Amino acid sequence: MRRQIFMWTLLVTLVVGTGFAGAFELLDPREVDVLELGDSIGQYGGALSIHAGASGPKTLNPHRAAETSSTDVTSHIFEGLVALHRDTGEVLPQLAREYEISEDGTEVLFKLRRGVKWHDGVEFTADDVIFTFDVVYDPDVGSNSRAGLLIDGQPMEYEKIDKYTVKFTLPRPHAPIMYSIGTDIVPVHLLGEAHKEGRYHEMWGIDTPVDEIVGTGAWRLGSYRIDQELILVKFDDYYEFDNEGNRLPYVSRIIYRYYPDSDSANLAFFHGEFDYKGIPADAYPEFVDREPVSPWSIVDSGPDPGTSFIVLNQNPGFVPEPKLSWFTDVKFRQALYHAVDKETILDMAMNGRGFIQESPINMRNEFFLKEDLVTYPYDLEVAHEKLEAAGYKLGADGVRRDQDGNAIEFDLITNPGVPIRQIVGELFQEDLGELGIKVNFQMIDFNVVVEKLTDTFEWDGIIIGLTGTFDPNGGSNVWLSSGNLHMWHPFQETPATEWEAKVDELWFAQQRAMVPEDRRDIFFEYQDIVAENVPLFYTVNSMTSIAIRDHLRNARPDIVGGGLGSAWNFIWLDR
Amino acid sequence: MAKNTTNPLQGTAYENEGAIRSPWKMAWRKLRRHKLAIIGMWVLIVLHLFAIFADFFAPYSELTTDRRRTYHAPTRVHIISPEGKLTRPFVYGYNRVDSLRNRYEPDKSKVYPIRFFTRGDEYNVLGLVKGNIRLFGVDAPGKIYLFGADMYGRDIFSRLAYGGRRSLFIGIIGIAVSLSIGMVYGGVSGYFGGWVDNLMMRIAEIVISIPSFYLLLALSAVLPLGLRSDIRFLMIVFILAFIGWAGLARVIRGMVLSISKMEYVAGAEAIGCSQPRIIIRHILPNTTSYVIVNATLSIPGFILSESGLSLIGVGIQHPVASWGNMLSEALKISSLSRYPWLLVPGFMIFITVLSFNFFGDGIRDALDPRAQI
Repeated sequence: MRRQIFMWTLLVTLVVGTGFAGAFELLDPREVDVLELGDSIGQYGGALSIHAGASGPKTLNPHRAAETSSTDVTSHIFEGLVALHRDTGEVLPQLAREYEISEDGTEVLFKLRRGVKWHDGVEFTADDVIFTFDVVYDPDVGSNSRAGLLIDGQPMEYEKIDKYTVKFTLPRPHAPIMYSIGTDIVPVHLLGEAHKEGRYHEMWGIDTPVDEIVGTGAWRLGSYRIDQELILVKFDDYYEFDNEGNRLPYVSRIIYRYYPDSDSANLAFFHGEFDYKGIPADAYPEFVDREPVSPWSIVDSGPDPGTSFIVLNQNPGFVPEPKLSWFTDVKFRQALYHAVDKETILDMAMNGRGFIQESPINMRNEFFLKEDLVTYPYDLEVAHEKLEAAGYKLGADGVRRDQDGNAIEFDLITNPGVPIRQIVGELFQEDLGELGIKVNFQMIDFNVVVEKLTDTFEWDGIIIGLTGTFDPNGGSNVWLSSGNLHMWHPFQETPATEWEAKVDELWFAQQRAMVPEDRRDIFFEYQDIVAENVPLFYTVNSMTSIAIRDHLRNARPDIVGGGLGSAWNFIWLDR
Repeated sequence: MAKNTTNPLQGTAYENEGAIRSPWKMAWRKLRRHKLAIIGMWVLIVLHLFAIFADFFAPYSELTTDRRRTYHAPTRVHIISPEGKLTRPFVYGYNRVDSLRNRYEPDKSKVYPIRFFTRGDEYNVLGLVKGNIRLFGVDAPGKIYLFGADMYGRDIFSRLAYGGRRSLFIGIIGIAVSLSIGMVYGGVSGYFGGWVDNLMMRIAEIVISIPSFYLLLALSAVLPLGLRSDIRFLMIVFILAFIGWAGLARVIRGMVLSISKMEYVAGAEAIGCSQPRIIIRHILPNTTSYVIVNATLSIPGFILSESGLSLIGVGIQHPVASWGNMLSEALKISSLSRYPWLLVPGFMIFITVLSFNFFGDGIRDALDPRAQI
């Protein structure tokens, strides 16, 4: 009898004891230096209301999400092993507690954070990581992360060492891998079955009940009314704490509101519907006029990470002669680049608030951005002289002809609805007209433009833009001659020109360079080659700004992306 | 005659003259009593002359840009000099004082007198005669923008004149084309009757049942790039006319059906007139009054369709002006509130459509034989 009681006591002690140990010892919290990132320790409560663009997510499955309307939501519900520091762009552990890269750069060992919970209470472990990479590497899933995680077309090897340790083995050293390895981790306990049955791609569409969408992030899905309103609710067991040990986030809910029209979204902000709003370049003066009498302030958040440019088609077999000869002639391209009136574009499209873009590198990533590149300032006189020197002579009838006497004329297309592209097109058409070159500029449906660019390849000139990634390696599909977005001549089997071969070579070299300064030197050389050969006529880049209500605290746009999404975990409302 | 109407003492003579008037003269008399119709008519005449002689009335060519004068405000015309004296009309030079909001202020030290019959941008009349005499203008570097400038610094007043060439004449050419098709088609169908009539009317009904704006969108999207702007203009006219003829053909066919039962048609057949001659000489002229009314009232439809197409960017293409594509710059609230003069083309469309409707109403009353004088 006594013995039995003793046993029971022991058992209870053990159970209770391990229970406590679980609560106190097994969680690896993450301390966020709120005072450094923001300015104050916050108070709990309130909802943050944001303008989330024209339409809502098309899927809530992070490995099916392809467009920003979806990733804007999933990136807050799900997390990766690592994430970028919001200001420095440095790779920091997220779901991992720490990581080690081996000397030779071919092995990465992740120690996972212990005690992290999925939104449904199940613990996050190495099995989830293994499952996620199975999913990402499965071509049938079609994950957007897949391309970035392939090295020379090869997947990495990955294995579970124990419950909290995962090891990745790379086929060769690949410096940019750390920028793509932070892909969103998904729960094996909810999706493993579906993936085995080949149904992963059907899972977690927008018709899924909100409770079934489960991530590890600070926010879980609260409700979604399609294309109207989406609510994220704070996850109470999140593992981040502020300097004083308060659990983050401070705000209880995030409300995404969708407005199809940018004018009405601006008005909604003026009426107090959003807590902050990105300011469209063309509406900037209106915001400036209202700022002094409004309970919000305008904060500049740095250059736009994207690019806008004119590109001429150099794809043999799709561009007829003599156009192909003109477009592949580097002297012709250099001369024409002088006819792009960057200052006026800046003035007309952005009220003069922006930057002239010269390099393909994201202007926010100053570390890799080269300053003293060859430039092509707007000067029709210089353009004329360069064309004459290259054998494109202006006739007495005002028509410019090549050596064979062909009058120079080509089509230029873009999509309607993006003011800067229309302005670039009209000015370029007029300026080339002055030079005796006839440009037929027209705006056609965006899908048709994209189809021409990526599918039929039958076009002369296109004005379009690309969104930028922070690390320059994100441009792989543009700058490698085999890339699908190597727009002027995609999918090359071997580089068509010497300079493209050199860029390919540099590109592979930067991927192998594990020391950042070495990588930078390689990117500098690449930028010189691109500036010399002008495959793309870069135009201008806007200064982005955000209007932020005064009651938001710790709300400072980050440097990596210029947004406030990375601050949601420690923003608070001071009412 | 104008004297008669204004002089009550000669009223008797007027009535007597009326007794021997042709139907057309009677219609004209009725029309003249319709005040709104006459106002509409004069507005239309002025607008059409303004467009036809755009080269003369506009101070600049429609393509002349000025990149340093984005959204230039309308320049006021002064007749009192800075010293307070009455002088010939002049404008001040303007400086951009706020590049963010494109605000311009007059610089009183720069005075540019308006010169009449001055030499301006060169133009070609019908591609034959070159000229450069324009009604008014100011010496460079001054600029006169009566209605302000658009984003590219182009003069809106000048572009209204040149744009009117497309926006106004698209209606007239369009209605001419669709009337010709509609009258011949309806005439043949109504005259022959029977299975010919049946077949032709079913085809017309198919054309009517096509949702026209979507067809317009589709057709204008397949127009090739690099089409000369005047060819493109004509193609759009034909696209519009192709949709517009069927409704008219149906009404004409109904009228012809009843007219062809008249004795004089039987008479014409009896003396051996050919069928085309009977249709064209004897039957169709009886539909004239309906056709005229219909034409005047359908022109605004063409004008609005062109504006709609150009507004969404598939009609007349920039930089060539039309009222519709000029209006597309006013689509955004932010630019509209800062540069309200961008709405002027819309106002012109409004005036034109209204005038055509007033004028058409007047004509309908005037040509209606049952209406009392």
